[in-house]
Amino acid sequence: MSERIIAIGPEHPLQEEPECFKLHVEGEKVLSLDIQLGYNHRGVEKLAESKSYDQILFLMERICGICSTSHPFAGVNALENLVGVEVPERAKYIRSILGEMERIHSHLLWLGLAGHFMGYNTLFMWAWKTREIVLDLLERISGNRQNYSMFKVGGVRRDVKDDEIPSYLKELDRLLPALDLFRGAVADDPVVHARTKGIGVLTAEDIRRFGAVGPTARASGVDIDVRRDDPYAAYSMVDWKVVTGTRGDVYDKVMVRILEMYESHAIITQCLRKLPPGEIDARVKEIPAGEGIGRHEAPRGEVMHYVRSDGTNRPARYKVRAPSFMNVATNTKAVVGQTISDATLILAAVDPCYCCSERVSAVERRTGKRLWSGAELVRLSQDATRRLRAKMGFPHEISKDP
Amino acid sequence: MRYPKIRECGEALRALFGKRYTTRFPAVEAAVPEGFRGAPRFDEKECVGCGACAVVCPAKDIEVTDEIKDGKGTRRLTIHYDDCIFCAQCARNCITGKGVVMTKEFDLATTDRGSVRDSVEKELVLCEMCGEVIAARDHLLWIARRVGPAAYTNPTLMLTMLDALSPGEGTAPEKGDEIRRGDRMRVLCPRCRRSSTLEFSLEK
Amino acid sequence: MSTVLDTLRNAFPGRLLNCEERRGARIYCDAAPEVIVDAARELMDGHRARFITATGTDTRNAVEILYHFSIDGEGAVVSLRVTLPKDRLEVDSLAPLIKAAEWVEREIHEMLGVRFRGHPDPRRLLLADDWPEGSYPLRRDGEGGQS
Repeated sequence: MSERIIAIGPEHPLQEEPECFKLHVEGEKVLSLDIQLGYNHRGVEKLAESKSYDQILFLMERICGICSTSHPFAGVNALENLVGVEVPERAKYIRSILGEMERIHSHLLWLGLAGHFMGYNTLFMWAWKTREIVLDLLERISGNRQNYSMFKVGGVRRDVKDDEIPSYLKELDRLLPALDLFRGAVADDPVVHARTKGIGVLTAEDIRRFGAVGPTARASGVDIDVRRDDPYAAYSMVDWKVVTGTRGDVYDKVMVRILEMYESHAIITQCLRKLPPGEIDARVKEIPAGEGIGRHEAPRGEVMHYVRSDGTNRPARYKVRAPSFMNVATNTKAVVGQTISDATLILAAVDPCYCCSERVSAVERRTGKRLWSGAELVRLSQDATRRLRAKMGFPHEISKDP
Repeated sequence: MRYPKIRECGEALRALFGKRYTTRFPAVEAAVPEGFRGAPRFDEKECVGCGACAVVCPAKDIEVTDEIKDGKGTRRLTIHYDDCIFCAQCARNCITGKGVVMTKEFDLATTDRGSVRDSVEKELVLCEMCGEVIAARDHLLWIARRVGPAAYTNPTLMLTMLDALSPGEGTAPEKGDEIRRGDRMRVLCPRCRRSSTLEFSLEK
Repeated sequence: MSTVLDTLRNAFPGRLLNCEERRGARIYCDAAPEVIVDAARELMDGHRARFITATGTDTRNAVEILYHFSIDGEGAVVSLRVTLPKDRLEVDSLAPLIKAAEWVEREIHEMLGVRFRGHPDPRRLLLADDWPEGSYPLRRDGEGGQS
């Protein structure tokens, strides 16, 4: 049977960010996957060498729109590891609050996209509607929905107003019924089960080989979480659980993320209630020569920043390792042997953030015949759901793409 | 399997009959909370022209240009909104706290790139000997106010301050060919002040 | 955590030097280039380490590569430092041992010009196709990067 190559990318409506996946298929089955990155390459590490240590955190914020806390968080952890300063308690709590709020809105965004790929556009709309609760809170705390301009070496830049905490808690509690709705929508829907269970399985050994992290790893039962393993900020001072799955398929990846949002909610509410009074800034004046490594559990997994200082006010080297760099590579294993219509769901299941891992360039490579475009592959995925529903006896038509 | 659909119907009804979730922006103005980081704007009266905002700006977006024409110096600070990242570092580090402030304006989109700017102009104080820029006048006055009586130890500060109190009074002595002792009591840049202290001729 | 430090201090005498633990559970060792694969294997098999990434830095007369491993059970990060002289920028690839190292080494190769012997797929990863050959952006010696 003839082998054909289907290209998904570099730019098309399916993907939020450009990248090029080339699926080598035979009939309906995927034989192998070739990933080409480089479309979002912006030379951030090189640029970082021309910024002062205070300016650099603003650059790090903008590596990725949705991981806008994660990179500065790892960055301040790295710089504080270098300097050896103790961050005031109140600042630690505020940092954890921001980190967990980001986790919630990132997972909700992803949940919406997963719904969209499956053809459940209502889930997409409702998940993104629920996100607004968190984004509005972040806007009240930091002044913006993304790019919070909050992290600095030795503390945070803006304080949380104590008299607004009750209103924050009230808003956060509005999340819980929505989370219950989403959990139920996924756990009780046999069509979702059929589309995601046993699909795109990654074993624990695969995870280790690829160095995968975050929900992608935890869904396969690999129990790693930087917040617990290498505690920082306020994570060791509140009660919460690490959520793991067992099968490593797309279903587990979805459920791990949904259940993590409950844990994040618990962390934020505990932090808000226990917020200690005091300073929010240790006023670090100088970064001495040395090296520092800092990590943070971003919504997609472990972010690691390495900083080398030569005693001047600019870094000698600044290395960023985003989780998606390792997680995206797992697709080369996860998608092999699966069908084309499942491919988009599997590729999306690792919650890829190309901005984080990319210093990417999109390469336009001529292959053989181009059978399906990216948008058409989404349609294939949505059609698969339609067929399944018909087979299971559900008469209603799922809403078409707007 | 009907049960989840019933539960979701509940949400659907709520969404259908509840308050509309989206706002009618731009027909209706969008409400932004206190402390929202919109466009930074200069306040001409409060800005002292020190340029601290330009130094800290992570995007190197604030342009400071000094122009000297006919013996008068003008400093122009310009924010370019097409490069601004709205981080509020300029506002946080402004030495007066009010020279540049974050407003709530976010609806800045336009098709005219030249219009997305905000500028402020400040008078510069020039060195009476070499003509170089010392600092913005308002900056020197701000410093003089803050150091109080100690301002009288520095002729540049003192003379600028006195000139502000009663402008135009007291003319600067004629510039001679050589540095004289009296030149110490003039508005000088640091370099000229040092030379006037170290090298002067007592012959005259 | 002392177990990892002990292993590193004793397992490769003469080849893994200056092993020290700094604040925040960060361990640094200087590794001779020829021992890096064995040291990585020892960490992965003997201590359940996870490969995080590798950082390449141009340090004027050499290129330093720091291989970062996470010992999740202890919250520690072990960094093995390999220094390669600029006239011999090559080292054995970790990719046959650790799949995760494949993309990491490709990136270091295109950014700093280091050759990884035995790498299964040494193509460019991030730079554009038309980026000039032999021009390495993170180098500071005029080889394609401004200092």
